[in-house]
Amino acid sequence: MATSLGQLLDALADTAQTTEPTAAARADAGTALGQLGRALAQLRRDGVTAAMGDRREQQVGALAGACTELAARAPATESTLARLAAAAADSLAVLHDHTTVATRWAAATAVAETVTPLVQVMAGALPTGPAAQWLAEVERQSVLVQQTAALQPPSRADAAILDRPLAGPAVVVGSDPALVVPDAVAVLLRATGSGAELPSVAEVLAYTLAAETLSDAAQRLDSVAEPGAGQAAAPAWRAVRAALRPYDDGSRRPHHDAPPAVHAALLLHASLNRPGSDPASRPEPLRAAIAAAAQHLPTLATQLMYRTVRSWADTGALMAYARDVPPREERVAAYLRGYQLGGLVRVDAVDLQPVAGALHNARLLSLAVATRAAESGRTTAEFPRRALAANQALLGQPQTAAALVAATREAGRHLQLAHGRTSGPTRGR
Amino acid sequence: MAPATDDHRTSDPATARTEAAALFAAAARNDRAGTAAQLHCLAASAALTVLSGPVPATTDARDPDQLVTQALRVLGELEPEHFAHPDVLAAARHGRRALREPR
Repeated sequence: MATSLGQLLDALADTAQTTEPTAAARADAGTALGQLGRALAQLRRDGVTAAMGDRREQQVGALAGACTELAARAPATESTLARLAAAAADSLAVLHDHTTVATRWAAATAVAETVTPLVQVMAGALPTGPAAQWLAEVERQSVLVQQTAALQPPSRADAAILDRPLAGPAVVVGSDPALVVPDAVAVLLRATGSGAELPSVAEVLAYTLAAETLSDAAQRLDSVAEPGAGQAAAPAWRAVRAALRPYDDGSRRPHHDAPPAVHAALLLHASLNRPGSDPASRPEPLRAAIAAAAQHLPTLATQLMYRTVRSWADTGALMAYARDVPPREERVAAYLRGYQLGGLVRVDAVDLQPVAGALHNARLLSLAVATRAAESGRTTAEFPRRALAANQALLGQPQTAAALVAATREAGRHLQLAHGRTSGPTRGR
Repeated sequence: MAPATDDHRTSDPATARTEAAALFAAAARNDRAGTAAQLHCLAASAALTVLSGPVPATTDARDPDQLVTQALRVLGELEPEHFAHPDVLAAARHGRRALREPR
């Protein structure tokens, strides 16, 4: 089951607050503080401010050091608190590729908040000595970080990192759509957010199919709403596939095995498109899962735009017929060769502008559908409120309203163009 | 209650708590704040355990995020030993969470 850093830290704080302060619990809390120290040290190494040696970096480093020193003096034990803290620290390492200095500061603030209830588990019971001194130092440094966070609070957009879903097993399995949807979205975010592996065109087509299906399901949550920007996200994702039509990297062929992320995308699509199932009568857990998963669609579009498409442009990984991309003087010969081998050209950033534009529209319209989905029903305790808050903040920006109207119009135009191409001389894919 | 402006800074903990509590209370009743954010603001105001007195009506016109941010700044400018008080820590935590909640 997918989880998130925010869920792990919330669970850790809740567990610490309800734990009886026994000797075993104190030892567990000490080990947990060591794990949080590991997380803070990682954040400090990666940087929590743009300026080197900033007060925030020093404070996070000092808190990390104090937690580590205290844990070194705690009995070696591991129970619920330590396991939750270890999972939180590990999740920060997983999130490394997706963080910025601002989001790392948001994460450090959340970790420092969690230190307080762990300190309370141990407070007043340690004999005078180095351990008690380090516990006092942990408390002092935690207060300093929280005080600086009061003066420089993270923004909603930065705090959304706490809700980013972390995939469990690489291969999504199961038949319950309410479980498949969150796991599949977590896998898709990981696949498109990794800088190490560049998705192929065929993989991106599968991801956008899943995004379209999820958008459509999210739009149907609010069946009584007036049609608007929140109802155009699914066509916008379809327009991304249409915009990708001219491009190939050799992956547009039958494959014997689907990579895990493609498998997850297809499973999500199948789960929400079961024959005979009525979208209007979906059970409440599935509706909640769809509304929660929709909050991550804008991030998926952003990653596809700024990682995948940019990497395609930088590496020249894609080919297209000169006739199918914006005309250029230096490609006259290739253009005249038509749909033959000699008519192929290597595409660059300019050629990929239609794809980037379609993804930009999909992102904007996904913001609208995500916020409407959240308003359409009850949300569970696991609902990614921070991601919703970030989506709302983006949607509330003054320039977004006009951009949404333009995106809705553009999504429709992309589709019309795609229909036009189907009947024309363009080589079918 | 001391007026809350950017150039007004106080190191007096009682005044700061009163000022921050009033700002949190104003944010809690602001229609533009989301329900969860309003609850966090209410909890922050209550955590400071001061009688904030009447909340100036002028604050109703302001953005709730600005009110919360200003309240956090007032608390953040306390001396560390005063900020370390559990009530203040809890209020600041609720304030930061209010800023993460949907509108």
